[in-house]
Amino acid sequence: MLRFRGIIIVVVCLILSILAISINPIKISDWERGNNDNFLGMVLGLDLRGGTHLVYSIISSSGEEPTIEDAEGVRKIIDRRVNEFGVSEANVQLLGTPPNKILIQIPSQEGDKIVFSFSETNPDTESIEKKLNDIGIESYEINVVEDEFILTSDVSLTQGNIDSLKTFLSDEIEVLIKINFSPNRIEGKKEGEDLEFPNINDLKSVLEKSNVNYSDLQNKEFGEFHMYLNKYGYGDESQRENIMLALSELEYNLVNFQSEGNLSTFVVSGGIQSAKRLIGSTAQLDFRVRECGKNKPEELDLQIWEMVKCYDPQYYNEVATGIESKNLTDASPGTVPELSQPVVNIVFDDDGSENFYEITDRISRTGDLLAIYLDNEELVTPGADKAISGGRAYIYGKDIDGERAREIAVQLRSGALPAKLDLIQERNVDAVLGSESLTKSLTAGIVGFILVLIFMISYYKIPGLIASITLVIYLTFLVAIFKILPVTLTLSGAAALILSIGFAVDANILISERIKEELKSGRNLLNSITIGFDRAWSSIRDGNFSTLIIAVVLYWFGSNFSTSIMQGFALTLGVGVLLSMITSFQVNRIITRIITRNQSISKTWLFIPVDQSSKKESK
Amino acid sequence: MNVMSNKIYFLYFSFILMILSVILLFIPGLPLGIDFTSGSTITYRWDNDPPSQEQISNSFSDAGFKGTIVQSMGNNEFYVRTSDLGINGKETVDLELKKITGKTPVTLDTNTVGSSVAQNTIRNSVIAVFISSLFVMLYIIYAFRNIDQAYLYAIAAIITLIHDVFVVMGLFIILSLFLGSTVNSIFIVGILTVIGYSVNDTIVIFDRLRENITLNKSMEYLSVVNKSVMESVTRSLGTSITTSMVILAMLLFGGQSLRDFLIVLLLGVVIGTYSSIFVASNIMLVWRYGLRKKSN
Repeated sequence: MLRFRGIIIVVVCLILSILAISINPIKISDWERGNNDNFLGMVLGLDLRGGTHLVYSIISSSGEEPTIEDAEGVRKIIDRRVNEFGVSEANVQLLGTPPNKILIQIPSQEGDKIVFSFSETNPDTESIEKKLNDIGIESYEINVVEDEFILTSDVSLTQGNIDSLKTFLSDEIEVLIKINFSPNRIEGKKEGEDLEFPNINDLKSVLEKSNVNYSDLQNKEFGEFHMYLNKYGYGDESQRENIMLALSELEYNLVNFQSEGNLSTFVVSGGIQSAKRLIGSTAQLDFRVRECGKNKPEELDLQIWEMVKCYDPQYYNEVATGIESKNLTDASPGTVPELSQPVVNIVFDDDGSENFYEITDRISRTGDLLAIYLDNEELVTPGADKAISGGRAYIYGKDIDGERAREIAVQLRSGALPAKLDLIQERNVDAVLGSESLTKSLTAGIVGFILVLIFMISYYKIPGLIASITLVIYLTFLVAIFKILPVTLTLSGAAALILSIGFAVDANILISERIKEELKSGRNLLNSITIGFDRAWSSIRDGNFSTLIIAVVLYWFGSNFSTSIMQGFALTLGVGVLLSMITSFQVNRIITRIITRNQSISKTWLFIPVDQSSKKESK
Repeated sequence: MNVMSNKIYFLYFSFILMILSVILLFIPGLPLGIDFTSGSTITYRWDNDPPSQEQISNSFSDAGFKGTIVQSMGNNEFYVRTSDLGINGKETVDLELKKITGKTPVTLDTNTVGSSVAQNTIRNSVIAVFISSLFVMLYIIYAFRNIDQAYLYAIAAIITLIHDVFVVMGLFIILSLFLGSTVNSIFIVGILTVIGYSVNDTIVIFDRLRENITLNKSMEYLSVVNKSVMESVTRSLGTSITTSMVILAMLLFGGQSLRDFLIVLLLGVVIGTYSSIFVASNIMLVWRYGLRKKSN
């Protein structure tokens, strides 16, 4: 069995690689690779595949034409954002003299995904599908997994599409409200009849007084009421508060308030949406102290007052703290044990830390809250038990999933934009290098590669055949690894790929030449093969190692100085060379050993290249 | 055949080539393309039967604007990036475009545009190449630690590499005068590829030299070098012929958009093979014997 170990490993790897290449997409729980419309399921860059063409106009904070410094600042920050987000080799250019627009071309992204869910009960999928057709969303798929609706769309959705879907889900689907009151005890009645619940007319009158648009109000048993309403709202508690306030006017204690079927999460992710969010938002983080209401209005219950005094804008007051995006030195996505949702860890600079300490110290004593806003949208409003030193904090929010956390981290690291961006054009564009032209080049490349194989087999005979098989195996491994990592293949990556194939060819030629020399010096076939491989190894190792060193330095340099073109080249070259060094040598040796066991093809002349063998005969 | 006996001529030849290349880098200099310079963008629409991307690119070329990038946007619309059109450039281009289909396309918008590659990209690349060369030298010194003066092999390999990069750039400049090639960001990648190829090719020959030095201790250095180069020639040619075959096939039968890049690669393979055979080992010989001609 031992002698077959090598070949078994190779065959297993080969089968796995072929599976990895042919299955599209590969999906193992959250881990997903490849999609249908790409070449071999690989991720291709802007130059090879095309992508989205976005033009934003730059509007300075005063609403006027931006200064050249502003425009240049916007360009730098966006460059950093797209690079750090791993969109490789995007094209970012300023338009106009003086520059007042910015053009961003980013490689095609996979389609969009919207995840939404409802509390307790789900509406029927049919009504949602009908709405999707009405607003013009086509080629989508809806799956319900563990009470979450997952809508995946092959094409990018426009902001308008998304907004109308959200409005539909939050406003047009009926929400069931369940209310329970505890009874009031009436003195002087006998046991069992002394409990009194509010009656339906009481409820109707207070609801109507507060202009609540309900329907189908029903009195269930023992103080339980059901009603239906629209426009319950999402991410907006005003309707809920409105109803609660109305109910507080009854002389009964509300013990339970439950909504069913209202939209509880709505998260848009994937592809172009996240790219647009990443690019277009200013990313101004803003910390404010929220001073909770101090004076309880007469008409409110203490219970309700506690609920609204820090959360209803008419009662609280906010004061700026001066902590902003520019006070951060680092931001990274992560998780914390206390929370089940992703967070963004932030690190303050010295000023920020000091300020943050003072503020948390103050609110821990006053019981006020810290309100954290990102681009004027409220994220969280935590309180503090004690002053927080060390200059570290984390932020999270209702709609921040893992992907959004990563986006926010990238935005905060790259800094807030010095001007506002307004999307004025969004188009799909073809590959920079032209898809027709590329297809022609690819075909020519494949033909060239086949010519190489033919040349090797006809010149080197058996070693050439083995080399050809090795090369094909090498390519299969390489493509599988690229897809699994995944490496975004751009032209610079493709250049590195061609170079690494060149190295693989070179290694095989080195081996064939060495075996030939040993045969010519009069050794027998088996010895020649063993010694040939040994001697070829040192040159394969040194040549490939030097290239690997170059690849590592270029990658390091490219990632530290955001020269993505260098990075793409280096990554592909590094992976390619490492793999080529192992495959061309080991796989070649394993196959050679197996073939030489077969006596009928182990003829020495089959291992000597064409010109040398004919010379020998003529002598 | 005794390659090494004429060592001086090859070294002189390469030296002159290098000097010429360096001069060419200043006059006329690398023909920087639109990735590095500011230029114009135009969005065109044809009402029907639009030309191909290549036809549009050729029309710009005929109007005197080389290295234009054309991207299809669907709906018969094309987004074109080209060098600065100036005042009359647009009219000339529109006349050329009319020749393709007989109709002048509708111009949807025009803009001036800044460079797409950050200003420091070239500088960064040069520094990165410099640092990686240092590390490669250290590795060669380590790998050749068993033979005398290992650092000389490291220095020779780097000189060969510098030679290759400069000569490839020089030849590219000359070719660009005839073919209208331009230097865009892909060019940097091409040069990086040339570097990878050059280092590998040189090291394979040095490796042979290392082996022969340890095996034939009594043989004179000149003969050892000669023997090693002769033994490596078939392999060097084998590799460069196969690699060139793929590049040539793509150059001749592939699309236009990769032409300039493939030219750099082809020059790199040819120069890399030449220098590993005729330059790298000769530098070692000059170190040992000085510049006087050695009669064999």
